[in-house]
Amino acid sequence: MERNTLVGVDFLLMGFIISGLGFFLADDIPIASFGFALAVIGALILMIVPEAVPQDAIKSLLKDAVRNVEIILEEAGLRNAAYFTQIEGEVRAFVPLTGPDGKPSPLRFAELESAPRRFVVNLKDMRGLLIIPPGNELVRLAKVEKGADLEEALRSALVEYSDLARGVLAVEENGGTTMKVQITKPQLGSDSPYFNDALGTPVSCVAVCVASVVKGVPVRIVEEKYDPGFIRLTLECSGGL
Amino acid sequence: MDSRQRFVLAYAAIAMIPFTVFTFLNTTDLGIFVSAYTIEYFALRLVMNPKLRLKVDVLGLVLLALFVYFVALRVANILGVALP
Repeated sequence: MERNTLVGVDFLLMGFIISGLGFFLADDIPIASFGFALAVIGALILMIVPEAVPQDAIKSLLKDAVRNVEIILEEAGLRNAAYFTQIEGEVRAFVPLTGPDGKPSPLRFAELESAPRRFVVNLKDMRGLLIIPPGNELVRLAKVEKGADLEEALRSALVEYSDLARGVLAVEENGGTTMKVQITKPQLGSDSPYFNDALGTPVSCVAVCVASVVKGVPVRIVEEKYDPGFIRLTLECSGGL
Repeated sequence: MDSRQRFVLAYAAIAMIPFTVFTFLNTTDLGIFVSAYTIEYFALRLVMNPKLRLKVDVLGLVLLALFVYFVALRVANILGVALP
């Protein structure tokens, strides 16, 4: 049993004992209420989920991961918006060598799924880098599923599970092929220009991972407006719908 | 200090206020203490929004039930109706 859980149980039991003794034996309401408050504190210790790793430590680890991807993209000179797609249950970001005009067809993405897993992709007309975006593991841990409500899934992953934002709003347009997402108070920013252009800022990157799993088709960022107070995203599904 | 410690310490600190005040005023109604703790709990939860282990806030429900009971008791007392 975790140490804090024991402390919680101790507080809860002591609280009930003091409260009971104060109310029934001593007939002293302040003592009974003191015991009650102790029991509430004990219950709180038991109920609230502890932070296994401090938030600052997680953020610093993520920053280093973002910097690594930034170095790779800078070396490759890639700034094109990545396509986030699910391959064998994992989200991968395909950063194409060509811009939006040379957009790969949905058929090519289907071929990518059966192709060998390689960092550098050179499959017929699809050339680029296939990387694991920050957010892939988070989407798995937050149990985001295909076909779920987009706003609900984003809120579950970004607000409730990871605390990366304070709120999320999502609207689907054009029959679900375009999604507009507003993320309030993102807790992480990035000053890596290549990363931001290709994968979006870290919180947006997680949001696109969620969207790609929910939609089950490749998704990319069409437009991103970043402000310390909010992020406005326009996402586009590539085929399949 | 993690979010759980912050929440528990904040609750302990603000729960001390009604306890001290009501004790100083020689309050002999447990319902007043419990109501104050309940209101403080819900207010702090709204402000700090801690993550709970369970989907249902059991403590919140228990506190709310007690709050409703004590209020009902007070209302019945005013109306002159006997409650258990």
